[in-house]
Amino acid sequence: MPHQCTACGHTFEDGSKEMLSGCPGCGGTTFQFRPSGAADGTSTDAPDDSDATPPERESGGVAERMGRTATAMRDWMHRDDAPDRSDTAGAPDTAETPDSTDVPDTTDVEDATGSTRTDAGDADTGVETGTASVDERTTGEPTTDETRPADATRPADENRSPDDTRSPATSESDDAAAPDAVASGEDTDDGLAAWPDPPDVSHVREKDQRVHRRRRRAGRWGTETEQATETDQTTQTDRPTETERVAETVDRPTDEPRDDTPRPNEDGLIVADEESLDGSTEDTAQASARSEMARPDELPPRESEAPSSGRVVSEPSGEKPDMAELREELNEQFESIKIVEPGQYELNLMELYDRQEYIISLRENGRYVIQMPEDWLGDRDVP
Amino acid sequence: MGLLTELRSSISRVTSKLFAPDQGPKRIGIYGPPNAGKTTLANRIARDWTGDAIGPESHVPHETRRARRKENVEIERNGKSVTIDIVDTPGVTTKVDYKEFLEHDIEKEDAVRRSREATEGVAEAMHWLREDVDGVIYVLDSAADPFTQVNTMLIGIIESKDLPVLIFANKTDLEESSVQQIANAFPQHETVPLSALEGDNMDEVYDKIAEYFG
Repeated sequence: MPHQCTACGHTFEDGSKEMLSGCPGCGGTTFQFRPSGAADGTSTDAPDDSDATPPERESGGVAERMGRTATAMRDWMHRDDAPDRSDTAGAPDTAETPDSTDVPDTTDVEDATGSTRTDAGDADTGVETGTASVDERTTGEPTTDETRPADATRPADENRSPDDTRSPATSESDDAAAPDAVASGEDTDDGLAAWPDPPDVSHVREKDQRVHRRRRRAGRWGTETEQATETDQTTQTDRPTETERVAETVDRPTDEPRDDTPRPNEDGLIVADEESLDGSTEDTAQASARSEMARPDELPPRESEAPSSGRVVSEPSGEKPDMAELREELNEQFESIKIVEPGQYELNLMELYDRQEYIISLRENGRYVIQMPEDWLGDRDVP
Repeated sequence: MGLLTELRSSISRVTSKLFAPDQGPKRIGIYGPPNAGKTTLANRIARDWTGDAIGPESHVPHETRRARRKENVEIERNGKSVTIDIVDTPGVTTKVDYKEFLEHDIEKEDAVRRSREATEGVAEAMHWLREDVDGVIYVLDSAADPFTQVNTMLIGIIESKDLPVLIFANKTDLEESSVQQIANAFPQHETVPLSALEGDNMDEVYDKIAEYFG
């Protein structure tokens, strides 16, 4: 399982020390395991995605709970069938921000995005430093988030997947759209703005978790929309990856082994996606959007398409790195500081000593950040 | 930022290694688990020989979360003088939990921040151990069990680097103190009893420092 720089796609052999000082090609410090069969096309997607991907910290009990919460929320949101579904888990945070609730108009969307991206920015910092900003993230105060400029740095290209067949307008709102801005999605204008506060808000806050929302890209028909719910510690980190993989599998559906077995906390998610892929489950919003372009009987028959679509959806789970395995491997190879949950750390002293130039932060999506000592040591020669 | 910074730091690392051995004083790292009295000792040494302290002492673990250095501490022994740089390092541990700070009346938010800083501090301490110290004073609370993973691991690392090391059995002023237990734990090294807080047995401490690191 070679490593791959998510910025330039440069690959490194397993156990390579070369990458530990940053990618020699571009200086990037975010890497992922590159499955042996991965398409080259994937690598080009990766940079964008990885950059935009809010980091996630190590999973733990809380993370799992968060994952379940996010799944539950996702399911719940899915029932609304918004093409631009917002991150369910993200909703809690946004629910408090005025901008986030409704938002047909671009400005609002941007506002909402701003806050969302800031969240992600925080997360990035935290993860990348291995430890930094944990407190900030855990405070979960929307006000703080909004004042932060981090959003500017958030790459908005997550949506640039080959799958993304949506209209520019849609993509744009998606790009900018934070989970909260979900409402900005075409269909959300009417009914979804009135979405009740997600029940998980309090839950999330109790856990002191900042839920990181991700913009997702919608696949064709708006049914393949990716919702990546990202919490600091969520276990659903694979969603972003999944999206990439979806793209990948579209190109080369047979390349990768399939694993249709959903993970425990993704059951709902996968089922939901499959449902939505089925043409018969077109929701009112989709129907409305589509009706402007074509009548139902003008649509191509979906029967033939359904299986491949379904496969695409389910395949990613098979291509996702086995997080336990990945974690073990990374632990073995690199990981020196494990963030159990905010404020709780486990340190691998030997790793810190042996390979001290960097701290590896494993994200739940299988990506990991190699933190250079300059970043976390600061000015070392303090008098 | 990566490449340039990396390059710069590599160069400075190389140059410092090239010139450090013959130039300047030896850099002595004060290591040990949290709350062993490292900063109290560092302050004691620094005050005795320079008049300045190095950092704040506290009963709260991980009070020292960044390594602090006091340069050119000149210790005179038997008519000779030994000049060392003292590096007071954060306590090394394998787990940091903000909850332990809550017991010291620290608010959660602050506790989480401290926890993070303490973690970074451990990483920093390990960094110094790897690259920047020429000798080690390993401080242990003589009233606590020395048979811990951290102690074993750190002493092992120090031994593997062939660094000169002194074991200081601190807190001899405490009733439960057992210097012998410390000595038994690391029989291959010299154990010096002391109370950095009370200033007990500091003469021997300085003798040993001069002997080992001079």
